[in-house]
Amino acid sequence: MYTIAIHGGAGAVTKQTILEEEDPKFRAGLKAALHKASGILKNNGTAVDAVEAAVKCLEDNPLFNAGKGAVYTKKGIHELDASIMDGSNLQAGAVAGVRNVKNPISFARAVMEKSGHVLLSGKGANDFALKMKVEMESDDYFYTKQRYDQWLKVRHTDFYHLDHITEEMPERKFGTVGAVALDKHGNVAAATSTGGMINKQFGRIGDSPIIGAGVYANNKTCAISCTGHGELFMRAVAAYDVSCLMEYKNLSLHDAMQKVVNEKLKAMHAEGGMIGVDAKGNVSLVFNAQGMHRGSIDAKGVEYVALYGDE
Amino acid sequence: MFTIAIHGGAGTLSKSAMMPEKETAYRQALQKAIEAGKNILEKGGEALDAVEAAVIELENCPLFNAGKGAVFNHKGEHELDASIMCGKNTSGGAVAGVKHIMNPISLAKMVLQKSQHVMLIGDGAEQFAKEQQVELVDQSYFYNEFRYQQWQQIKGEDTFALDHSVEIKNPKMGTVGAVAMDVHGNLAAATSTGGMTNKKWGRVGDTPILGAGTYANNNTCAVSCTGHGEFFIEQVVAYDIHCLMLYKNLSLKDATEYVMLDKLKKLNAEGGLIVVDKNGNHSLVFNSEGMYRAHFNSHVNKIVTAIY
Repeated sequence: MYTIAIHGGAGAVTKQTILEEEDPKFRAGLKAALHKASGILKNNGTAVDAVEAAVKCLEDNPLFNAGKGAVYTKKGIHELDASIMDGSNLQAGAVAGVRNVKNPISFARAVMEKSGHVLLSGKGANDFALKMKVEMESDDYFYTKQRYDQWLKVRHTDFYHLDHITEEMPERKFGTVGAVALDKHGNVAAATSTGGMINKQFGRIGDSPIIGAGVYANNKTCAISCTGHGELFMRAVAAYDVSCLMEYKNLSLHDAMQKVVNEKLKAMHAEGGMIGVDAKGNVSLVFNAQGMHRGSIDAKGVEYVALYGDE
Repeated sequence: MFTIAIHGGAGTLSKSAMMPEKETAYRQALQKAIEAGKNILEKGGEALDAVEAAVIELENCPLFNAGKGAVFNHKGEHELDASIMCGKNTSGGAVAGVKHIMNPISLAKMVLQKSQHVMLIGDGAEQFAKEQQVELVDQSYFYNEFRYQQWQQIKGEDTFALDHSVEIKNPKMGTVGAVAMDVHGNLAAATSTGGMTNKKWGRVGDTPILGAGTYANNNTCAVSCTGHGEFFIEQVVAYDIHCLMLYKNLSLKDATEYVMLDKLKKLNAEGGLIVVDKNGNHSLVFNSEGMYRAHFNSHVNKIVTAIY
C-alpha cells in the first residue's frame, strides 16, 4: 500500500479566475507530478524520494510559484524557500532565501542528509549548495513573462501579495507547492517549496521552510504540507498542530486537518489549505479558500486531480 | 499577580570548573536582567515589554551568547537571531542572520508590531531596521577577546560548538530568553542568540523559529528554549509543551519534564527550557548539567538565581 498527495497552491481558484486554456495545463502539471511520485512508490521507493520527485516536477513547471516559476521580489530577483521532513526518523532539512538553485527541494534534502543542520539561509546556504554540487541556474532561468509582468505592475508600490492577489489581476492564489506520501515500508514524508510572495521585501520568510509550520512528518501521526497566508500558518504552527491533535487528542487525520484549517486558521482569517497522509493509508486535502490546486492517489490506487472548491 | 523567568543558556556547567568570581558575575547579570523585567511588571506593564527588557539586559552583557556577547561564525563574523511572541493574540516576530543590530530582540518586536510579517532574515531584515530608524552597529561592537580565542581554537576545523566555554569539548548552549505573565494575565516569550561558534552556511537554529525556540499562548503557557537547536526544530519543542497542556491536559511540570527529560533526552538532545503558565506557575527544566536561570513570582516576592 502507498499513497501520495500534492498541492500547487490555494486561494481564489475558480472557473472565473482561471483562464479556460490554463485549466488543463494546471491539471496536466499536477498529474505529471503525481505520476512521477507514484512510479517511485510502486517500485518500493521511499516516501522521501517520492515527495522530492513530485515537488521537483512542480518546481520545474513555470505555472507554479516555486523553482522555475517563482515570483519576483521587490528587487526583481527570486528568493526561494523549501523544506523536507522524513517521518521515519523525524529528520528535516530546509533552505530559506536562496538564489539560483534549480530545485530548492533537493537542496533542502541535502541539508537534511549532509549538513548536520536543519535550516540554512541566504548567501551562506548558497556556499553549501556549491559544496554539495547542487544544480544551479542563472537568473534568466527563473524569468517567466507572466511573473515579470505581474511584478512590473506592483514593483513601485509597497504592495505585496502572497502570490498574485488584486482586483486587476485575474488570478489570486497562494503560490506554494507541496507533496506528502506514504511508502510501502510504512514511512511517511512531507515536502514544501515556494517562491514566496510577489514583491516581497526585507528578506521575508513564510511558513514553507519552517518545520512544524509549513511542513511536518512523523510515522506515528501524519505527513503535512501547507499553502496559504504564511505568517498566520507560522503563528499557528499549523502542520505540527495536526500531528499533536492526532497524537495527544486521538483525532483522525481528517478531523485534525478540518479542525486546524476550517476552525483554527479560519478564525485567524488565515486563508489557505493543506494536504495530509497518515501511516494507515488515509489521504486528506483540506482548504478554506475557494480552491486549491491538488491531486492524490489513494491506497486503492484511485487518482484524483482538482482545482476548484466544488470538485 | 505576575511571574517572570529568564535563562542564559544551558550546558556543561559544573560547579568545580566555575571560578567563584565568574559565578558571582553570572548571578549578578541574571539578577539585573530579571529586575529589568520585574520593574515593568510590578508597575502593571505588559509581559511583552518585560520579556524584551530582560532579554535586552542579557544581550548587552558580554557573558552570554546573544547581542554583545555573540560568538564568532566560520567567517569571523557575528550573526544574530531572535524571536518574540505575545500570548494574548499569538502574534510573533523574528529576525535571523542579522549582523549589525545591537538588540535583535527589539528588532524582532518591531517585526511583530510594525511589519506585516513574522520572520525577516539577513540584509533584508537590516533594511527593515533602517526604515524603522534602528541604529546599526559595526561588527566590532560584538568583539570579545574570550570569544575570539574560542573561535581561534576551532576555526580551522569543520566542527561547530554550540557555545562559548573555553574547552569546546564542554559546550554550553548559548542562548538567552525570558518568559512572563503580567498582572493582566497576558503571557509573552522572547529568545535571542549568537548561534554556534564557527557556524557556517547561514545556519539558523531554533531561536528565531516560533513553535521551536519560542512560543506563547494565553490559553496555556509561554516558552523559551536553549539547547541543540536542530533537535529543538525537529521536535517543535515550544509548541509541543503548549499541545501537551492543551490537548492532553498535562500539568506544566509534567509537560516540561516529559519533553525535556524524556523525549529530548532519548535523542541525546541537550538543553533546557523555561516556561510560565497562565496561572503564573513557572518551570525551569534542563537535561544538561546546568542552566543559567532566574525566576520571580510576585506572591513569593523573591528573586531566585541558579546555575547548577
